[in-house]
Amino acid sequence: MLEFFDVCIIGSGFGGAVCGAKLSGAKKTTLILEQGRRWDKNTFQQTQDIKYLNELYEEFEGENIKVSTGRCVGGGSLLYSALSLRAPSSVFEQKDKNGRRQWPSDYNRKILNSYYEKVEKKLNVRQLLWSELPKKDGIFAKACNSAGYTCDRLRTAIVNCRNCGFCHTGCKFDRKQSLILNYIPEAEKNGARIKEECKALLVKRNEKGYLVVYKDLKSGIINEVSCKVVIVSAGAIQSPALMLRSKKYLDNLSDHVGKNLAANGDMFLAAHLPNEDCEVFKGKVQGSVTYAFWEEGFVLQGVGTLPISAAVINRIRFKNAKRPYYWGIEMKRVMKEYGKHLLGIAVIGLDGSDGRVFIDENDNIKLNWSMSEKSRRVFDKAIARSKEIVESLGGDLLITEPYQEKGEVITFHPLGTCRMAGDKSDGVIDSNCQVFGNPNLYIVDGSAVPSPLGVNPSLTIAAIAERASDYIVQNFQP
Amino acid sequence: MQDRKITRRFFFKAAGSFGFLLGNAKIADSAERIECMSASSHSKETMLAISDVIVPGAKNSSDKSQGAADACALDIIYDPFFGLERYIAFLVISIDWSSLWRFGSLYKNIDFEKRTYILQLKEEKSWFFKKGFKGIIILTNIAFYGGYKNSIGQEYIGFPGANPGYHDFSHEKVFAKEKTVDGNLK
Repeated sequence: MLEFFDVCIIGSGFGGAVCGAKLSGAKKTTLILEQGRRWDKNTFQQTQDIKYLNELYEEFEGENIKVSTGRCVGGGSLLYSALSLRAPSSVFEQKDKNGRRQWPSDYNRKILNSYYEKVEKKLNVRQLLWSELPKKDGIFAKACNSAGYTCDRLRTAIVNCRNCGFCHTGCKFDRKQSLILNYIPEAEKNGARIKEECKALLVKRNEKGYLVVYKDLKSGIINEVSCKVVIVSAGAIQSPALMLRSKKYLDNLSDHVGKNLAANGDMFLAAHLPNEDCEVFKGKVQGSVTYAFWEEGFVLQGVGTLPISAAVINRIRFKNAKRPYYWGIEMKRVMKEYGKHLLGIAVIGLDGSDGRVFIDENDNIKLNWSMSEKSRRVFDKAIARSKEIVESLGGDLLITEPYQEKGEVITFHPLGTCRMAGDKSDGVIDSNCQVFGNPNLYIVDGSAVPSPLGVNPSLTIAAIAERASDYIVQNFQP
Repeated sequence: MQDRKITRRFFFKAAGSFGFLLGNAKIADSAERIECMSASSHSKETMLAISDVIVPGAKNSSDKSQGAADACALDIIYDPFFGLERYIAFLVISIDWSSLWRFGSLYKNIDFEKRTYILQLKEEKSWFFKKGFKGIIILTNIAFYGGYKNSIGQEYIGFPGANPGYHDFSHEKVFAKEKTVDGNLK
């Protein structure tokens, strides 16, 4: 039997969960489809077990780009570092290479501030104290200071952190304010229904609104649900893929779907500080940031990393290492420093949105990244500044493979693939997140963000979702 | 290291060994995974020799620390979940062929330096080998640094793994001047 809901939301991350809570709170019958399953403090594990991580994370590997996203009820919020930063004002003023303003004219920091406040309150966001900064972040700040730069304490959505260092595998102590502790329970309390392990396949327009075709991944059965409003919140990779697959069932979808993929300037660097006590595995995964290089288009953050990330994903090595670099004695030599003297540095910046998501002839999701001069400039400058900082403390910047050796981008913050714009010629959705030419179809997630943010995007995505939800509630027609 | 000059005797020895290896190779598919798990001892010994070069054990580490073999690297290399076992037969043939060609002996029988040399050479020169070898590097590193079966690798690098939290996590000092009032850039 065909089920009917006022609203069907596809995805339960920072876009979907916020919309779910708000719309169900406005008495709209709401269904949330989520392809991942539920996790909580009882099922999270402090482990590097690949099989476990494989259930939580979804990896997309394309040409010159790798993207990692959350696959669970609550999306990336279960796996993030809980950094909750507002996008700087200048982000909203960015222009593309043709001189076009990337954000719609009615979007700016001032307008978003009231929505940021709502989300911050809900997620208990506050700035860390110096005494709450992990050792590695203290050392990062010390290095910045030693090189003559400022370093700020970050703002996080964590309450009474246990400092176990396993933020990225799910918080076993319910201290990290993931969406499963706030927006999602609120949505369910309001009557929203969550169907986990259900993957949306198509969105079709019909006379009553929309039909969402989805597959129950447990049983393999394909179902349909009818609804007046559809909110696509499946993230910057899955959302454009769903839209491209649904293109023939929708009206005049913009050609921008899947284009303009930004990696948010993500790059991981590592430093060896032989004279400093970093203990990179203790404490919150991230706690410090230097904004000193914002004018150059990036920020640097101290970051903790699990050993497999250093050894397997980023394949660190000393700059004077002898071949072979990434295995054998050299790898063992550099990893021996992990526990005491290694420090991760996360770069987040304003890249050139050089990527694309598309569907191949076999219906598989494909990604590519063609490094622009703008992106290269940001990454190269970030490496140079990081080197300057760590050398000021007698350290060395290590070689990390993906960008430095292979020119590849790895991102946890994909953005921009269904970007908002002033009109259809420039983007996929309007400033209320409504798809051009398709009333009551919305895209609310990282794909809606039209430019890289240069800071961690979760708070901005949630704030955009708060704003879009207000619009959807006000304009809902029974 | 210099390339070995090919003599007629060496050629026939190598060709014979290659034929023997090819005949014994089992190309596993999903239905044969259990059998692949108990692959020929030659295959396992060769994979163990490779993993010992990737993460050297006591015999070949200057600090006499344990390595891939002690971290049960074979268990993860042959774990069907990772899908690598189907390539192992080809990798073993390929590396034995190179080893015979260069040093006149199977890979498992040459010394550590020669093993390293062969792997480096294969990684550089053979696209196909590189693909499979990359998988073995990843899994061996996961076995050791990721604590797949035991924690000897984690202990070696000073990573304690699962824990209830730390009290001594912070230096508790103000280390730098700040640019913002509240952590957000205006």
